[in-house]
Amino acid sequence: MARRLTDPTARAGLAVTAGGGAVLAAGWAGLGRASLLSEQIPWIVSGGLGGLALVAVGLHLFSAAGLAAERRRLERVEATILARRALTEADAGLRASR
Amino acid sequence: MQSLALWLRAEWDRILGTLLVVAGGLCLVVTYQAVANDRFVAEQMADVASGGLGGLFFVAVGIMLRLQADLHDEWRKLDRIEAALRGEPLPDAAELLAAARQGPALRRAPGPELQPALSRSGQRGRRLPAVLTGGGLAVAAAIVFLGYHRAAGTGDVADATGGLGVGVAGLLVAGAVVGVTQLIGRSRLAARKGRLLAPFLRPVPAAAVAAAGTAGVVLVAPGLTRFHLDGCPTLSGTRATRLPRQEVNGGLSPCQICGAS
Repeated sequence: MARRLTDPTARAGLAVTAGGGAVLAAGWAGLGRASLLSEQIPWIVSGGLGGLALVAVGLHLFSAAGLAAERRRLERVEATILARRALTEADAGLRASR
Repeated sequence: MQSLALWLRAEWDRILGTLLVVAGGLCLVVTYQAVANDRFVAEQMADVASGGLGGLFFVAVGIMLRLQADLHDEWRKLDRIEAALRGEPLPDAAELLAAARQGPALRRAPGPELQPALSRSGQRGRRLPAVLTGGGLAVAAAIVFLGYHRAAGTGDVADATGGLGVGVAGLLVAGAVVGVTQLIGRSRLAARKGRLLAPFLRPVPAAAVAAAGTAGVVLVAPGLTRFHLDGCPTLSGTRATRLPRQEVNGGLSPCQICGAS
């Protein structure tokens, strides 16, 4: 978790999620102040649905940062395996030439 | 222009996902404007059922497409690793691009050296989540549309609220489909990764670590859980630091690839 926070995408994801939470809270507060149902519905759309969308996008960014880090790790593993393979083949070539 | 077409074909899911997220956000903004201008509650309910829930549906589908694209990338990376472990030739990116540029005839029948390694297992891993996702999202979209239809066809607030409820149920189905397909995709990836990389991840017995020499210099890098010897390929692309072996954090274990101890 702490390691993932060094990634800018993960940090952006957390910021967007927090922003979504703030929008939800603002929607809740606006809803409480509106007395008529027709006044409350715009708050539900902007604060409720908008906040939910922001939270979803933020969580997606955070999750995508984890997947990107995993892909980078796999790239290192692939490089390692290829390097070992090259070494083994070079070794076999040397033995054959002796 | 050809490169743009290639990029669009390779990244269609990520691009479509991004467009859907943006479209969903725009739907929410337009819906807010419409709802703020409506004079009757029943009209507002219909707007929320169409633009509001529809917008959230687009956002959910867009996010799912982007996450699926990430999982597919990881699956393809595992294809390459498996091929490398088996000693099979790996497809070269430049050759693949050249083949793609030569036209559809070659694309349909690439030579064996250009076929992604173990593509059958890759296809198998992708097919089931795709079928589940497509079917589930179609059902969810139908429920959301049903809710909109019910909310829009009435001037009665109670009926419109009922329609809105149906729309919310459709949205919950969409959320469940996205969650379940993600869980399936990730668990299949984790299982395959475990099978492939288990030999590299086997823990070193504590006694062997203690018995190993403590002299010498090793390398550590931020984000890595193991320490390495100079020249270890796992350090490529990292900012490694040299440390005397004795000063290495006790939480780090030796790399089994380069044989650090």
